[in-house]
Amino acid sequence: MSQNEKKNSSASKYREILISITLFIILDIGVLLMNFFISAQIKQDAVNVGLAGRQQMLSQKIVKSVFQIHFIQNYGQGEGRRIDVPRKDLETSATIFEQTLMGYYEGRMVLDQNLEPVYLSKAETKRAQDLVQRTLNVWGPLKQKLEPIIKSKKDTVDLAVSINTIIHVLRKDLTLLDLTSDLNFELQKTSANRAEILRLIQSGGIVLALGNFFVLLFHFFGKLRERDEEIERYSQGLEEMVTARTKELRQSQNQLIQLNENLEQMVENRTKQLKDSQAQLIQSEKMASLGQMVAGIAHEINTPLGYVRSNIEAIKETQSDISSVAKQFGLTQKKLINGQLDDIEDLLRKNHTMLKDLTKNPAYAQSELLLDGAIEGMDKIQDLVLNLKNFSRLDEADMKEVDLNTGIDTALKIAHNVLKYRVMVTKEYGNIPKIKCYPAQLNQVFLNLLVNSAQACEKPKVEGYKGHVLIRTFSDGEKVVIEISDNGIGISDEKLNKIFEPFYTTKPVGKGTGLGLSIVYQIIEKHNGQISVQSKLNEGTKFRIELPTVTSEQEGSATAGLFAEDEPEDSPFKTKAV
Amino acid sequence: MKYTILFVDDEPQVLISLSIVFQKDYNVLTAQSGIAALEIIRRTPLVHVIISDQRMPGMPGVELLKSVKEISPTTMRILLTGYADLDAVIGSINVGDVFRFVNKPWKNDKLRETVRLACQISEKMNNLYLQHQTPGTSLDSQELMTDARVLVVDANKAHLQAIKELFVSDYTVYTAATVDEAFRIMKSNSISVLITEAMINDTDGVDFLAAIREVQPDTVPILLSDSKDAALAVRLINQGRVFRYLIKPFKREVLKTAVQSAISQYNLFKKRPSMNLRRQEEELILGDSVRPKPTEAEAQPDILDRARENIKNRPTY
Repeated sequence: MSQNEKKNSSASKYREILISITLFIILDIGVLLMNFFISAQIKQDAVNVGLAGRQQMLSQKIVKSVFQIHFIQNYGQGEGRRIDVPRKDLETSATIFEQTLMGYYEGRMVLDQNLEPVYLSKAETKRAQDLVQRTLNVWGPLKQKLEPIIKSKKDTVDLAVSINTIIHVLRKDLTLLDLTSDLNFELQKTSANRAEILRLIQSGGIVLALGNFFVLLFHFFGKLRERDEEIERYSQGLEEMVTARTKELRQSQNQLIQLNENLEQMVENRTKQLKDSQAQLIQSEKMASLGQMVAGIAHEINTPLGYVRSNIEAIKETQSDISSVAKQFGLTQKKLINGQLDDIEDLLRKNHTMLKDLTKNPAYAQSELLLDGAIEGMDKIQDLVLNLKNFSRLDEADMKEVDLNTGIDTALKIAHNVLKYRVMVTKEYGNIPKIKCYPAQLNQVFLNLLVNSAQACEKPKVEGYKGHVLIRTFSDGEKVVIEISDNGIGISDEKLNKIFEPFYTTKPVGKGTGLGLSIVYQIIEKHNGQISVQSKLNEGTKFRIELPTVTSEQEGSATAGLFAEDEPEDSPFKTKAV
Repeated sequence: MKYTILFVDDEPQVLISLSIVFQKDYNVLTAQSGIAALEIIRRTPLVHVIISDQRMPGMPGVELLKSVKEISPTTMRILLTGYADLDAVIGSINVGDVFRFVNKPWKNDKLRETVRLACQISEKMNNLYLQHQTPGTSLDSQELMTDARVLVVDANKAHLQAIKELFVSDYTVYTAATVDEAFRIMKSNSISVLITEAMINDTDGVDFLAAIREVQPDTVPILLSDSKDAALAVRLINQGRVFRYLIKPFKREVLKTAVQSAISQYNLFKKRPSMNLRRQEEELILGDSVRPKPTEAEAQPDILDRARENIKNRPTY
């Protein structure tokens, strides 16, 4: 459910309540107003009814007064009775009666019993109006009959008038009485009707209010129930949702576990691939440096091979001359022994010439030099091959106690062809203890650093510049330190931070793999040693290697080196992150 | 009169050996470094041949030979080295303009023949130099330049087109995707510069160049290759007598410069055929004897075969 719908629904809910309340208030006010109105009418009714009663009374009073006057005039005058009192009563009664009657007829202020002014409303119902009309019809002539009596200022009333009046009054009064009585009754009936209506309205109002209340209540309960149901539903839905979610969660957890397993497998595979490719890279770096070395070594071997071959060829070329001289001399000697001396003189002369020619042949004259040279060349080749063997130390792949000075010398001999054209090497070897290490690997380190130094000195900066590499070794008993420094081009600070990173190279593409120094770093790390570098641009570079005299591998478990693990600790492919 | 030869090697034993082998027939000089060698070249009136090692402290052989060429152009330059790395070989072609590239260990008789041939050429060239006091410079190159014809041979049509586009505005450019096509074009047009791939389909560029030499000895060859085979480069020097050797990919400017130099060279050969080392060499090897000219009817494979045969039987490197 969106926020908007929610708002709308709550607004409609409130509207319902508002409508109900408004309805309730309107109803109440309506009932109240009706009550007021009808109450006011009832009050008026009471006045009307009261006055109607008075009319009855007045009509009788008129009759009474007329009779009194008649009696006083005819029978009671002597007794001191006067007619002006009843005549006064008659006048008053007649006036009030007429006034009241007019009030019923048209609605006006009249005097009540206590002679207080009160409003009399016009007759309401048809019947009442009819009664009023009829009363007026009766009253008119009656009043005319009464007029002379009332208006007579004399103490007496004309008898004829009096009798006439009495007869008339008697005749009409009953009608008048009936009419006023009927009016009274009618008014009462109207009032009662009104009261009934009021009651009806009141009870209707109560019923309606109650109805409204119940409707509201019902509605409210309905809403409440709906709400409850909704909540129920919602909570049920929630529960379902929670269940579903839990299920989902469990599924995704399972998936995650699966994924994790896959990932682990993948990581394992990748690691293996990485290791393989790293191994390949290291191998290719080895091949690259080997290639570089091969170029130098091929030259180193081919040069002595060249002069050895040349020398031997030169000597071989003299061989036939030597043979013929020897043959000639043998022949001469044979002739001398046999005493064949006929042409001995020619023979000796020829011998002399041949010998002279032979000795003039530089290859013969200097054959000893040539042979010495050949032997020296052989020695050089032999030495070189031995060095190669020492350097690679393929027969010593495991740890061995060696003198590092010897290792450096081996590397120097291997790198000789690279170094000799570029730099002068100074050795300052200290008295260092033998350390247990992988000699082939450390030799690789020395060779790499030496070749780097030589290459750093390749471009002479100034006239008279001479490349110089200084190798120092010393020990403080705990560790052996090897320093290889040069006065070459140096390394800038930003490059210095990266030189041990794999694949970092400043050489052009194809010339260096950028692995040389990272492999150096790994090898030194494997020996629990440290390698550091200091350099200044255009002044030179100094590499410093520190190797502990006691390596941790020596302190390793007693079975170390007995059983081969999947990946032997000393495998060159088991590399640590740099 | 003995020829004067100079050996340069940082290994004294090499110098001793070569001195003993050559001192009977030559006036042998030796130097243990490039600087010492240059000193001798400057001092000595004429050194016919210099035979230098490549790997030496201080100055490598190619650099030495380059300097020697400047100081004494008629001194024939031979590189004698224990390891032919590609840079050195290509440098010896493009920079050192070497006569031969000889690997150690060498064979004395073959080296002797090579040195003898080089000495004879040097002597001839020197005589020519004496005749024309200012060789090369007096040529009206501009006039001849306009007539330059370039033939490009490459099995890769896209390469052919690209190279043609590079030169078509300056020279008359012919293209050939096969050896046969190239021979056909060369039969009817005299070509100044030949730009060829090291391997055209199945034909070895070295053999092709040797065959071309028989058809048009003055054509100056430039070889393009994407192979970094130093041995091939050595053969190109010794047998192909290639003028320039460019490793693909190269910059356009490099090829342009190479072609310009080749055209100058061609113009020089045209004006003074005797300046063509290759001709001299051929004449000296074969003597003045009748050299069978390739006839019109002769099929291309025969030319190639004969070129191959000639190379095989040559007594020099």
